[in-house]
Amino acid sequence: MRKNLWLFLLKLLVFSLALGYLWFSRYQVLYPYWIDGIADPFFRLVGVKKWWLGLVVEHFTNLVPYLALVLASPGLFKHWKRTLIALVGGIAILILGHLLLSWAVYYFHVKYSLSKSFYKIVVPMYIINDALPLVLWLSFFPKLPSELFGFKWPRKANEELRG
Amino acid sequence: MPGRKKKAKSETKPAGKRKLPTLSPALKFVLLFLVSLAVLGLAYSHLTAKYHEHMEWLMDATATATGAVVSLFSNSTHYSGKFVSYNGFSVEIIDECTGLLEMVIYLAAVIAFSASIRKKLVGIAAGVPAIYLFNLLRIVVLLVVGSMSKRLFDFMHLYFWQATLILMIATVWIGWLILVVYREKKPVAVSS
Repeated sequence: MRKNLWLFLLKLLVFSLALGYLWFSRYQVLYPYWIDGIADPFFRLVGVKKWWLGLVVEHFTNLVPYLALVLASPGLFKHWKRTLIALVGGIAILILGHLLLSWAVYYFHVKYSLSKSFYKIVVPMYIINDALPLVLWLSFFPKLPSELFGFKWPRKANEELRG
Repeated sequence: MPGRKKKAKSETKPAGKRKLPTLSPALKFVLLFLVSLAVLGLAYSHLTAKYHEHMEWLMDATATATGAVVSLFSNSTHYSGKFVSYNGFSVEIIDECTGLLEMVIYLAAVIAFSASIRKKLVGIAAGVPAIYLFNLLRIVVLLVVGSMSKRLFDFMHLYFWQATLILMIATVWIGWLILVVYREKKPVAVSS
């Protein structure tokens, strides 16, 4: 367990740094162009007239820790189907999250401009978006945290209360 | 006879006692985590917007603590109000630098995990200061990095938010699980 844990943490660090460097040096600027094919019809459908990238682009970074978590997870090639599902499904959910965040930011910007009310509503969305990599990783690899860190998911709420 | 077998099987299960499909514990945690995150996030943004003036002290305290830590190793550190500078490189501590957002996510993770109220309270009481200390370390590292290279600072500053978000919260949360939630009580030796 210990060996696996240290290996996982080491891989997580290496992938985080490598992907983070690539993202900030090159792909953060390109990413909005890549998803424009989906973003454009979606924005037209929901009535978004301007993509406020300055207010959301930093939060698109959540792709990096998610990819790092998936790639660092043990059994990358052995359980290649699980890896593929996690990669495709997770990235699709994150992209959808980016589009929804952009929509919300546009909507509330129109309504409140950059006032306190705007941030009151948008900040929780930022928080959820930023925590999404961890949530998705736990959803796609539910057994891994307990294997790596040696804890069990409690079956029932009462089980723990009794213990 | 398959027909009879089927009937016999259905008779053993009384109507109304059929088990509903249950969520896996991990998925249940994830859903509860998201709900807690949304509720706490809303509370956080409402409170910070309403009492922003009363939170200035936290930014000042974070700047002072950062300055005090760095000045242990160097004389070229200055700090005043929300500003800290080291070797001529200056940073301003804003709301996001105080670690409050990380604390909100950690609190949601503690609340969502199935544990007793007492263990959750221990997790909050010990975890929140631990996250604050981790965050302080993050700012100290950023300040030192910034004094060496502005480009590296930009990269670390932008990425550290996301990366440390996961590392800080996951470390403290897993620490809480191992040290508090799943800590087995040692049997007391009874002398005969």
